[in-house]
Amino acid sequence: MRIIPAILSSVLIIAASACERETVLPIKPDGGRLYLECFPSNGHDATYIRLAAALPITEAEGTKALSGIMMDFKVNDESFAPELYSEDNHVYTFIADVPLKTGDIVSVNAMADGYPQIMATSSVPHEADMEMSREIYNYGTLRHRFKVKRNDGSGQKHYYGVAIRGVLRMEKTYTDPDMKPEVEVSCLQYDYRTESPLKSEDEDVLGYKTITQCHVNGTNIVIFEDDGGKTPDLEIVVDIPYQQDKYWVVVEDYKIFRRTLYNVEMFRIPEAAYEYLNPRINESLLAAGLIPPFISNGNISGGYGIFSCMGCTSSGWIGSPAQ
Amino acid sequence: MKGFLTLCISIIAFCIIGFPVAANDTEIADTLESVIISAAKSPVAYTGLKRLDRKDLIAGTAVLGTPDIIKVLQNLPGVASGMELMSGLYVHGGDGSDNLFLLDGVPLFQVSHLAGLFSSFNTDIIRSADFYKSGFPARYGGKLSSVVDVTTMDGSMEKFGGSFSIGLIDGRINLNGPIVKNKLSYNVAVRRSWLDAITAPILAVNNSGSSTKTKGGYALFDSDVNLTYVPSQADKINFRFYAGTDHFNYSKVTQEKYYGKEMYNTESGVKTNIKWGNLAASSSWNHIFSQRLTFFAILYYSKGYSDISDWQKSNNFSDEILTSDTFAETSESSANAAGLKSTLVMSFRHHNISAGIEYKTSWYNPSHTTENTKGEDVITDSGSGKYLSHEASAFVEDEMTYGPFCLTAGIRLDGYFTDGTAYFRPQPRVAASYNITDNIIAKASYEAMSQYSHLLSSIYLDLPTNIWMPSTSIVKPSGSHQAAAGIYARISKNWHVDAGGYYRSIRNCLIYSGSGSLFPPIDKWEEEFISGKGRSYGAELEVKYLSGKFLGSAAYTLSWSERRFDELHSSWFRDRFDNRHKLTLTASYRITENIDINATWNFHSGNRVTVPEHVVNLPGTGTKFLFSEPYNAKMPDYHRLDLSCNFHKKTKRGNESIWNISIYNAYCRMNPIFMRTTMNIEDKPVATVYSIVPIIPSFSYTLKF
Repeated sequence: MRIIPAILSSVLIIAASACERETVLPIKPDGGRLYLECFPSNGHDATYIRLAAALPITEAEGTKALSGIMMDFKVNDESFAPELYSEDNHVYTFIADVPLKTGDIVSVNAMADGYPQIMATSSVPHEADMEMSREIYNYGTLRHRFKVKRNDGSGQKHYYGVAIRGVLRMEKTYTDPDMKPEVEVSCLQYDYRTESPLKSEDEDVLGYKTITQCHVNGTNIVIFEDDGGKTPDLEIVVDIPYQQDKYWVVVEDYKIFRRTLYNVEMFRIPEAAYEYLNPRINESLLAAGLIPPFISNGNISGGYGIFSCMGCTSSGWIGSPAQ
Repeated sequence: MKGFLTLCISIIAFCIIGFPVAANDTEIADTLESVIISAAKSPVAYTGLKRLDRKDLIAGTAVLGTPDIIKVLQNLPGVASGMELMSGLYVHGGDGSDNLFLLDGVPLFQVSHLAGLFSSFNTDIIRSADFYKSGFPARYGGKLSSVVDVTTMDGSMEKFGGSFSIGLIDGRINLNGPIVKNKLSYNVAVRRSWLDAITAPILAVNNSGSSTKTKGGYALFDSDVNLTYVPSQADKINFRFYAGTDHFNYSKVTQEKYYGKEMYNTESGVKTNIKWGNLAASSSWNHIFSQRLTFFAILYYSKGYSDISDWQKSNNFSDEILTSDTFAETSESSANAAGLKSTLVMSFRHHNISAGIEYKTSWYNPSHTTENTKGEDVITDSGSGKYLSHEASAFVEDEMTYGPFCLTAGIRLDGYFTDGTAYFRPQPRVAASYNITDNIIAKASYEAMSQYSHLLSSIYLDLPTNIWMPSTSIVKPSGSHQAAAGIYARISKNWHVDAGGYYRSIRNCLIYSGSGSLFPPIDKWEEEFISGKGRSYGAELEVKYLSGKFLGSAAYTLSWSERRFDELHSSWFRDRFDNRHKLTLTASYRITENIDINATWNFHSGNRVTVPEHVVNLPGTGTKFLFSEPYNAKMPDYHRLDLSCNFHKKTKRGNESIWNISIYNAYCRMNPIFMRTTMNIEDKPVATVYSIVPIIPSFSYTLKF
């Protein structure tokens, strides 16, 4: 039996060298696809539509320009031609100036040279039954605390998104009564944390979060799910820094008053959109084939992406308490 | 031959009845006249039956020195083995959790150790195993894809005997013999791993001189106890107990001293303790009423459980005062089943009728968590609490034989009651065979199956966090229909061919979407199940060459396995183990009376993985991988050669000793287990495969006495 130690020794040497190796990608996509991302909602005059080329992974090298783009945006079967709003690194943003209301059926149809046509349909859901309040507290620095309380009845699971946008107004008034006041407006974006009484049972070593922040229509939005309606009154708290309204510049000829306004919007999100924005998968485990293939394909027929309406409830623009 | 013998009469795939027979050669013949010897059909006349005896189980390559029944079953046609080294059994497109494992008629919840590396069946005590992948008799129910009916051995009524085995990572001992000669016998088999015995001294050396002590280890433990009582020639009573346990522990504790207003001696660190396993206990009675009427009844209890405990302590020393934060949590889950099953078998000239009833109640405690923070006990019942279900079944089956034609027709009627909901599932079973000539048998079968329990597993490993749950008013039972047909031909004395095909459809097959969490979210598990459809079809061919010294076989499977979950994907997609081709070649050669060698070569098409097909770059979002469909890519093909050699020797005392040397993956094929697609430093996507199983030589020593 002298062979046994010899075999065991050789095994240890070979096992130590066993690890990982690169291999040829085992997939051959038959060309590129169009990628579309759009979240129409009521309460907004315009809908932004992002379109880009999704390139085969075997030949992915950055981005690729699209040509011959044609897009049709329909609301209740009435066509509107979206206009190109901007282009950023071959990602094309179109804008459709159509106000939407709850219950509207919205569809999009897009094509570009060399890519299969894509289409998708969605309807504007009811907005959430909710209340919003704001308080200011001192946590070392002054902060806003927006409380969004939804009053939807219990018994049904819902998905939500909260967006807070700010507007900074620099209001310039002149000593000379003949000179007209001027207002300079700039938009504020916040990266905010959210706290919710909804306990995340799943947030563990694999990293699935029931509350997450994402980027929708150029705005940071916090999305979350409720507990299936078991808690009838759900309250979500959003903390952001508070800038007190005050005179910013006071000189002999003029003075500038800095005022900040806030708008809190709460969206009712369809489940498919929620899962697309917050895919409940660990991509490493998925790629390793260790978990079921819950991939978020979106709802774009013929391509990739998501086209999903949201029901929006807005607080309107609210100022500082002192004002 | 003088003395007492035990004559075992087997009614095919039903039960084995042992009779103590006082006999010499001539007396056997006399005694045989007083009992029924019914000619059973050979297993080859069934479409999906494979009967394995002890010899089959121990002849193959023993991974790490431990022979394993499931590793043997994985080599059969129609069975996908899943991930390398794991005890996966994916039969005719099944998902691995839909196999009915019976240990002496008791259903088991967990059948593997060490995340699936070894099965729970100790081969020392196994007499035989009947494996059905189609043509299920009506007495089996509750799972969809296959039946693995393992029968253990009764202890000898005559003399003390046993065996002792030592392998690379475990040791086994088997003792059996009479308690009251020819009346009462025992058979005990115990298996324990000693990985912890190896790691303990290594860690002790590592800990020496350090205030931080790290301890850890893993151990598996199996024990089987059989008591057999034969009060009369017509009766046999068995009491059986099985316990299989996995135990993992890890701790890292630092002894700390603080000098303040007083001296503090304390500790900080973490401790984790995980224990999981299976318990089974049964009592069975065989009775022969007459030459034509036999009766079998079994009362059983089975439990699968896992206990996870966690302890953390941290100290804070400030202003010469020590404060400590302590957190301890214990989480327990279990699935239990208790049942009674009785079967009556009536034999007539052309009919062999078996009929029976079965009642099973199952109760599930998915999670019970106790938290202790700074001395406060908080007991929380996570999620939706306990579940109770009742399953009542009746079955009848008639095996009719008219000359060369044999038809087995039966039906199983299940009533399943849970959560205020009742499901009734009639499941017809039909199997037929026809002897075209003396050497050629044509066979066919059809069956419907239902499954009422479902495995919550968020990751494809057999972990203690996996939980069994029942069908409820929301989660419907799964069902399947399967038709199979084949032909068996004994071409010559040496050559045997078994060929067949099957088609199977699965309705309401379930996939658990709690994929974001290692611990399945118990509170909303019913929402996380996605229901869909499955279909599988294929052809199987097995060719055997049998001669005196050489045994060889080739088993080839051509199969398709697909799933459709509309919530996941709008059309059919290939399943994870849609291995198009599978080929297993085995050869066994007895070189001398004392030495035999065995070789097995496995090949199958690569398992499927989900890899990104397109990629898009979005401002503010970055690179986003896009997937066209689930399991859209195939990993490289799998192949592996296993070799083993057995050296048999007689000891001075006349006992048999066996040295087994096995080499798993003899040519060190680095078969991929995982694949990932990532972007390399040049921002180009690359696929990386991970192979973690090299050549594994092992040995074991067995002494039979």
